[in-house]
Amino acid sequence: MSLGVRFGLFLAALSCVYLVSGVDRNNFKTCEQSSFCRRCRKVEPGKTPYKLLNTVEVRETDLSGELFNQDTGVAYILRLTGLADNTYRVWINEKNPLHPRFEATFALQSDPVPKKIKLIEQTAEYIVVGTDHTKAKLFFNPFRIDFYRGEQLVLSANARGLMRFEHIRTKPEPKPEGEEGEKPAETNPEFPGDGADSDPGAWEENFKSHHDSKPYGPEAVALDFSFIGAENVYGVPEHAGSFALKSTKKSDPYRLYNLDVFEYEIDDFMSLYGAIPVVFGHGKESGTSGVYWQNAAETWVDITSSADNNVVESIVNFVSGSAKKPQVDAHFISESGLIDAFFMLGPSPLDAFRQYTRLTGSAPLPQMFSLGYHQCRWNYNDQDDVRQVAENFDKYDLPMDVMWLDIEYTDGKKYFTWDTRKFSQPLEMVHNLTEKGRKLVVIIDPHIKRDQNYFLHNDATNLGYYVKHRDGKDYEGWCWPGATSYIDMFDPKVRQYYIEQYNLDKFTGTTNDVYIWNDMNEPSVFNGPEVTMPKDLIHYENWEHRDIHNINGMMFTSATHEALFRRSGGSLRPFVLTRSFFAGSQRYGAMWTGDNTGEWNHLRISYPMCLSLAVSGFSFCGADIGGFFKNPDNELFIRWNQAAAWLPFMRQHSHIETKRREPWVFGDNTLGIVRETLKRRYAYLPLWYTLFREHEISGIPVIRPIWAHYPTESAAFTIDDEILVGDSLLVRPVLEPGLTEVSVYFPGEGKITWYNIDTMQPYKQPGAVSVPVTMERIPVYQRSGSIVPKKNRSRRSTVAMKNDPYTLMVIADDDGSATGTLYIDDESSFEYRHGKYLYIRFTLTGYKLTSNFMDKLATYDTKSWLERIDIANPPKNIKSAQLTSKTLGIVELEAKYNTRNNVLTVRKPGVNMGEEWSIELIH
Amino acid sequence: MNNALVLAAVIGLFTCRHVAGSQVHRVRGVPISKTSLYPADRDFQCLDGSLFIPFNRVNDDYCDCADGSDEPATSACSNGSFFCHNPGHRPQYIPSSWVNDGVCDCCDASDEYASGKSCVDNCHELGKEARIEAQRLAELAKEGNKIRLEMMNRGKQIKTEQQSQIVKLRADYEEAERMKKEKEVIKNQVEEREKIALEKYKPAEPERIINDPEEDEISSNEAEDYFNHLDSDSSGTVTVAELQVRQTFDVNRNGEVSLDEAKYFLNNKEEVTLQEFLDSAWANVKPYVMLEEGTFKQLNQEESETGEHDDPERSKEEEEEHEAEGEENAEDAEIESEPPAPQYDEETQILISEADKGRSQFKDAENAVKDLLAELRKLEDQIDRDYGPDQEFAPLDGQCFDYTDIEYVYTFCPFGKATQKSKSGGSEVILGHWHEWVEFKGNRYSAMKFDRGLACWNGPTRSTTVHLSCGTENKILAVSEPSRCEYAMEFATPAVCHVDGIGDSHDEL
Repeated sequence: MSLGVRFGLFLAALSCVYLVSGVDRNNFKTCEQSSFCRRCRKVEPGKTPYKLLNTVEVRETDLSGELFNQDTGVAYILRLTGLADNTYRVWINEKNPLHPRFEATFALQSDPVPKKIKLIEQTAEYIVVGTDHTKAKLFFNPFRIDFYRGEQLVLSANARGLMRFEHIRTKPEPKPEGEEGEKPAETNPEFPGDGADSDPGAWEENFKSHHDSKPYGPEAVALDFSFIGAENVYGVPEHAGSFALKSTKKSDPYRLYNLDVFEYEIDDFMSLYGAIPVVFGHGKESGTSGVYWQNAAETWVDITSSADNNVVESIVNFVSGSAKKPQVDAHFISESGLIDAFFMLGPSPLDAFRQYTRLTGSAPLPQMFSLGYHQCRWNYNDQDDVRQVAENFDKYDLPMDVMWLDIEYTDGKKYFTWDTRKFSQPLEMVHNLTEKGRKLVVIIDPHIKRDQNYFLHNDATNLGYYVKHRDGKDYEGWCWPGATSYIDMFDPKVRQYYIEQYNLDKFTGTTNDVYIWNDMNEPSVFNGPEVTMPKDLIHYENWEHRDIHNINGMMFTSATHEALFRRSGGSLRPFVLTRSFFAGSQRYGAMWTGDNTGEWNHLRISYPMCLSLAVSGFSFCGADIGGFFKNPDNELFIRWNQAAAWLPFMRQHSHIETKRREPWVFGDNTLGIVRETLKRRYAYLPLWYTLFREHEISGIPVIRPIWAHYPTESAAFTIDDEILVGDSLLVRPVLEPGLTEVSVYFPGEGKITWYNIDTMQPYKQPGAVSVPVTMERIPVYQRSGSIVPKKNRSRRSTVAMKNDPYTLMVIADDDGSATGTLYIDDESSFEYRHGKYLYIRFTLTGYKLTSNFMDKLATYDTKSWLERIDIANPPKNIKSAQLTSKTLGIVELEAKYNTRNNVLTVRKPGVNMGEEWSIELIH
Repeated sequence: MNNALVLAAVIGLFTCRHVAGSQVHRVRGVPISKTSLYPADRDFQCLDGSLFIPFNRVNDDYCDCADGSDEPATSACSNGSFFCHNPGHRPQYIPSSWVNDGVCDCCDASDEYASGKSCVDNCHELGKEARIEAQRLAELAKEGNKIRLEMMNRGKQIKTEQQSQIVKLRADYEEAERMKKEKEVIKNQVEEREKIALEKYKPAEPERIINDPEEDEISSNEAEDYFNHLDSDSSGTVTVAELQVRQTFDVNRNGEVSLDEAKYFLNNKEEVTLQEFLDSAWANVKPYVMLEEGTFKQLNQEESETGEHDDPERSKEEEEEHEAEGEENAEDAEIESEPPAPQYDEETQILISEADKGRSQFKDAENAVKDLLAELRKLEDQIDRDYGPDQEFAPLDGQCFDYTDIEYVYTFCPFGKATQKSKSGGSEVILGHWHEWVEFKGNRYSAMKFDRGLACWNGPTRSTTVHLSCGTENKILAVSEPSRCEYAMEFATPAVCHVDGIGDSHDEL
């Protein structure tokens, strides 16, 4: 969804306007146009005015002290807390603030688990505290904190001295005429000040036709972090750029400010719909560490690297004594809020990713259906259209789990209502879908139509539920319905009210099989500054929109999640798709990369975008298949489906002005290829589901960059057109037209062999290898030593697959071993949280393959059984196999060796997955 | 062994039925006609011949045959088919992936024999309904077919009429041409005499008389000038390429003149001669030239209001209005600038009036040729039109049909155009001009395609596909817009009714 229609109407009125497609960059601020960014970016390195007073106090799990700004005379409280799992938190606020500052703690899943720290060393220059494995060394003057993993320095805060914490001040009285130029009279000559007062944007700011009243004046916070030994840094989504972050030495900083960017383009630095202020540094020698900057205000992040030559060399020399060591620095700059930074010290990539999700949470296991294929369009016109499209999925033998409805289903864009002319029988429509095991998703946006015949508008007006101007009047903006206001999801009463709207007796026409899509929640305001809300609007408890902007979308999505949870009486797992997000949003659903375009470079960028999200805690990511804007041709459409089948969230969606693009409209050849692509997606769902469960437990991403498992292979550090799905599959989509071969990087340095999942052809040669490709499929490989569970039967939906039998794809390594896991439960309810599940480890050792429950207390009564086992690179001369299980006893099985692909197939073991078993290969 | 397997083993393999006193093995999921391919007393050979397997592996819920033929009644093979007998209704094949998937697909409930889903056998009801429906359709087809035959006859009649008319027209045309030549000779003769007579009055304004400025000659001069202007290579024809380099013809203002845009101006030709340009292309070109010169204020304004740039119909109308206006102005100007007429002697006066008469007669003859030519072209166009194998669509040409939905009135004129008009007023939007027949499943006359409608914002020009089905009267049944600016109409017409059902888009039962 986007501004297309609005633009359409606008342009139609000016018939002779020359049409240009693509983003209009003038609508969005540069750092220089934003006074706080401008001020903070100008801070000179190496001259920090901050010193830590040596009156620090070390308690059981934290250290507290006072910081002093020698330029302003302002005092600050600093608290450093030890947290579980190699993590530290540094919190800084003014000692005597004039008014409180917003803390984005809603991002945390719960209070972080503290960890005991002890005083290790104290001198006149520094104090060291820490645990057995890690320590923090705080320098008094100039103030700096170094973090060590063992004796290895990995992270440093304020090493470049770019810290800035603009204290809240009173607005200077307007000077009488003729007395200009001089500094304010109250300036203490001892303290020259921080220079903010002389910034013309300090107390009010204009952008285009918009005025920001800035009643609290300058209140920015900034701090720099040095990743010692890191060759690259990653994170700070959402940007349509490369996975490895680029130096911002010659560009604007990476911007984090949730915006509805119309027809966004490939651009490393521009803001998009979501913001996760976390950055990970990784190097071959240094391992991985990360910083999570918990701040919901507009944020800019400068990245500088030792590879940029010399910028950070002085610090490198200072801290390590070696000029050769690589280093990347990240300088976070936020408009308001306070400094609340979490330091995650790794050491491995997966450790650092887990440490971040221990703070902000992992994604709860989604229902199986949400991992299937989603069919969306702006818009399916009416209930007959929905029925017809769904029927065609059967007609053309294509699996599909969810039909979606965009904004046109509503009565005049009034959410929680139906256009009764087009959707006169929504319950019947839903029933037609659920009868085939399918679901419906409908959109609910946060803008409320200002229509006096709309109950929600009347309630919100009467009860004071809207976001307001400073003078207390309801804010009115412009969005899909025309004049709209925005309910304030920070107010618990509003949340409660909003959640109740989802009750099935209130939102008539919906059932527990109808799930929700939240769009436009940045929030998008067509006539607002940068297409969003003015920063000086007022939310619950008098917070300015400025303070909470980046977490606004998440407040909406989290309430929707809660609503769906309650709607089913807590029995069904909610599914919510969101466009806007913040740190912690992964706890509430899936996200997609918004209004992309049907061009090859947008297909290309979907991989780095989702990789960046995945390492930042948010695995459940996908991009509109075919591109939201414009019409993909057959080749792009095929490649997009093939690529999307290996990203966690798989949905086709398109703009109202585009042609229909259901798979059958492209002709039989394309239909056939897409059919196989979808069937393959479904065949691997047991793996996806297991990975999502493992993510929930461990916090490690579902899809991963290669370096997550091969952290010393420097050549893979910048690869972002290839991903690992779990640790067993290597996926290399084709992302350019007309290719007959692609370069595949095979990690493992020769110790691992990768098997093409279609041909079982082994690839032993490590590093980049050119591999031929056809239109039919993209290269996907399974790792030697892995066992991947599949369901090979093709069905029309995941519901129909639930009781289907499993096939195990085993690839023996050179020692004849392999392992893998499988998670099974009812695929929809929360019963798994009460022990109703099976978590199985499969192990091949030589001639024996076993299934063991990793969690012996858990049980689940499944109808699924073991259909087939394929073993690539099997032991030689196997004649048959013998299954042993408790209920079946000993069963003789046929085992057939296929010389063409070197695969041994064990025919129909037939054992129920709900019991442990072993199979002996007889030779 | 788990439940599913037991069920599969017990009831999945085969069932027995008494047929005419003898016991026949029936393999589940296989029609009786193919039962012989599944002999129970020996190994089963996959139907593709690729493999022999023990018979107890048929329908044992494990896929052995690459072609899926060993598992007709389980979902084990992704490429298998399951046969529903559906007694009381039509038998049917379904993909074997639909077997035991919790969805009732066969009306005899046979596909869900082990999924726990309870399906009702409603084949008799459905069969009855289907038979009633089939009967209804058959009757419809029968009735419609009668009308079709009438339409066919009428169509052939029209064709014959057109053919004889065209013969007559051609003769008239030749006659008119001959007349024109004759008049031209006369005109030249009297003009020659007039010229000689006027010599003596020279230089007293000879060209005024010769240049009797008829309105369309001005227009034609202007058109001719513009033709020469466009004909940048002076080849004597204006080509699409010559138009494409001129911004004037960028109808949708997207910065380039597309092939379609250029062709629109040349009436879908690749190139036009001067005569063709004057006859037809100039009418398309002129509004845009005027628009560019800023002389076409009215159109410009209206376009700004509605955002429509390329409505050729409307442009033509306005152009006519404008031309009428231009004519007046020209006359006014003429009156004002007319110098005092010189005095001629009587003899000269006679010669002049003879010459005037010669000119006027020639002009009339010329116009007659033009009119006949236009009529001839129109008829030729019609006569070349594909009105179906038996001319049964011919009577529809020239007719129009309306359909009203919640917001719009749609009009469909077969072989003409499709339009949409808002009920709340506003101008008519062209959804497409007749383009061609669309073949579907071997039926060449399955749908009618209309394209080159009004361009959409940021999108294609509107187009409409009209799907035809059998009905006893010509009637639009439904209109939809599956993709933005791509319309679909359902049109019932006797012209596609056949007693054997061919040409009817409904599924046969």
